[in-house]
Amino acid sequence: MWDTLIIQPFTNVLLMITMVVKNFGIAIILFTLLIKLLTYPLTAKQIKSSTAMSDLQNDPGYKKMQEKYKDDRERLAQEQMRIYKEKGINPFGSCLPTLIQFPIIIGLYQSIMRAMAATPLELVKLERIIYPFLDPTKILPIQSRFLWMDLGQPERLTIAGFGIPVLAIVVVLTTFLQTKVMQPPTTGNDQAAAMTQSMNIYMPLLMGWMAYSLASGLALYFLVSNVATVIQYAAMGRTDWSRVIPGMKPKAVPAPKPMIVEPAFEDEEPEPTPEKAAKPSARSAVKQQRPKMKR
Amino acid sequence: MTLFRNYWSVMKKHMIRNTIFLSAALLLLAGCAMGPRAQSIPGIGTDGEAVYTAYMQHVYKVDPKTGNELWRYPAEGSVQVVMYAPPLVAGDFVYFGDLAKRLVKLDAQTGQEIWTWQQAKGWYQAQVALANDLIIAPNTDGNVYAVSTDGQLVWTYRGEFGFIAAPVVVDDHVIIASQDHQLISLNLSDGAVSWALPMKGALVAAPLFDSNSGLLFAGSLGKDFVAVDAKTGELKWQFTEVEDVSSVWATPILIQDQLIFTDESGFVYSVQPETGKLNWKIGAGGSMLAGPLALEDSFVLALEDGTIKAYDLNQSPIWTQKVEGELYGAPVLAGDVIVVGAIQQANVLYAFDLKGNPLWSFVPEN
Repeated sequence: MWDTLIIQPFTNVLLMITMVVKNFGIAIILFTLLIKLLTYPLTAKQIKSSTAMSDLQNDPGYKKMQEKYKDDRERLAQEQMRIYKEKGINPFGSCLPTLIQFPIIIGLYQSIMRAMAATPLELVKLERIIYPFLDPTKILPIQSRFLWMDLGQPERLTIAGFGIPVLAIVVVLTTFLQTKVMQPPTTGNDQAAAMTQSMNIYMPLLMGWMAYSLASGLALYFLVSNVATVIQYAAMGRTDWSRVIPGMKPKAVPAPKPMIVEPAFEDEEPEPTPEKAAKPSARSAVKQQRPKMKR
Repeated sequence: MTLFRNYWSVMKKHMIRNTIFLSAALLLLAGCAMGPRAQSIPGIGTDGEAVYTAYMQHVYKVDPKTGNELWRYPAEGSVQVVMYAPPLVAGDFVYFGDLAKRLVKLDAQTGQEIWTWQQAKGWYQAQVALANDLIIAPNTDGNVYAVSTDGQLVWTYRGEFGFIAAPVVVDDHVIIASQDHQLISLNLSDGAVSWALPMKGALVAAPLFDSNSGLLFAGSLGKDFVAVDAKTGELKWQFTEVEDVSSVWATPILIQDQLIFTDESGFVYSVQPETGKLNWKIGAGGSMLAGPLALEDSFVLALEDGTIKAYDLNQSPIWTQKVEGELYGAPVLAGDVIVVGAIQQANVLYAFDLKGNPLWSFVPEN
């Protein structure tokens, strides 16, 4: 099913584009841009969702609620879910589009390798998944050379006898650029800042390693995808170039409107009456241990 | 200070988790990414006295009488070094290329490595050819390398596409079947092009040279099959009597006065080598990418589904056998033993006598 639904269509689209542009490297670039265009609604939704989450995380009312229930995880989770539901926020909305991209990345890698067909057996398998309306004799074999690269092999530019992984270096830089300029502002949230800082370090390294090790066709996809993503975010006004350009003024971000006007503590018991004070309830006994909230 | 300690604690907590996660991801990717990622068929070579097969991480020398492994190279395999190109046995030496971009020379008796040559940028898929003291090695980097038997590069021919077919030596020239739809003749002394004949599709198999007629016979994925003058490159005839010939993936054979070739859809064609006129055509009963094996007055076919069939020259079936696995490579004759290489199963080689009786199967240990 994976082959039928993902590999075969991807491979055939790649081959069709190659037939038109007569260059597999350019076909990969165009195919990547096509994928980015088709997944743009998901990307936009992801941005919206992550912005809403970020605003919520920074909302004073939300922080008060977190502080109130910091020792009661179950209650904290309940309140969080209630607020998400009330505000129409999907906590997974920012990661679902990313998760959807994983099969696309894997599918694209496999279809690039399938199209390269470096062995006779692979050539047979490629020929057999070409759709009937395409003429294999006009398509095969695929020219694997693009600029200085063999798209089926890891990329190295040989200079003075040294093989320099130019594409891997560029992938590292563009991934770093992407994470930096698209990074949402974090205000005093230690956890979020730590997570973001970790991602800024590890994601470029991970992507660079993949670009270094895998076929250069996939590395080309990473590069184009990074650049296209930055452009998409910039078009939506979600980039802050001051994080990478020294001397540039930081982007002015208007303060978000408070999302939670009043902390909604539904189970707050009224102050005990003098009569009731004579007979303290177990609940009020516990309550007495908590700091009182000013109304 | 407390704030710093708290911040560092939070950072350290996430750093450790992220480090573990990303290290695992890197290790997984490294395991997937390192080494050639390709699937292919066992490459089989023989000098008539032993069978040499290249499959996955080793080249094995196998006794054709018993199927016992005599040696393997290298002794310890590596995921970085994978080999499929059929070894060429010439005298006391074995020559082959691998997917680690190496051209290798071994001692045929012991399997000891004599030298490796590593200037290619692509994979070796095809069996190399030997012309006097020159090894002709086509590579998927688009080059054909001529390397001396002592491991020195003599010349390089640069093509447009990767080469996956074995070269054929014809006197002082070498014939290259190219994926860029050409049959090319190169001068052995310097690699200069003597002639190039365009065909309708990619050529993925070596042509057949008939020294009596001086003709080369070749087919392509463009469904054409031709006869060419080996000296001049002049097209002598093109097979046109049957309209629905499928892609030709394999080298033809010549038995007595019958030129026999196969196509992907499983048809076998016998034509007259001088004129290309059809003698007969039969269906083998299944898809077939492997070429036929010529015997004295019969031939053997290997179908993709694992069926092996022998026919006489009057198209009458002689015997049929079935093996586990898929067959994509032509059977090979080692003495009086027919050997085929299979994939998708544990056994790499199957052997039969000339009457089709199973003799042994070979599965590498570990």
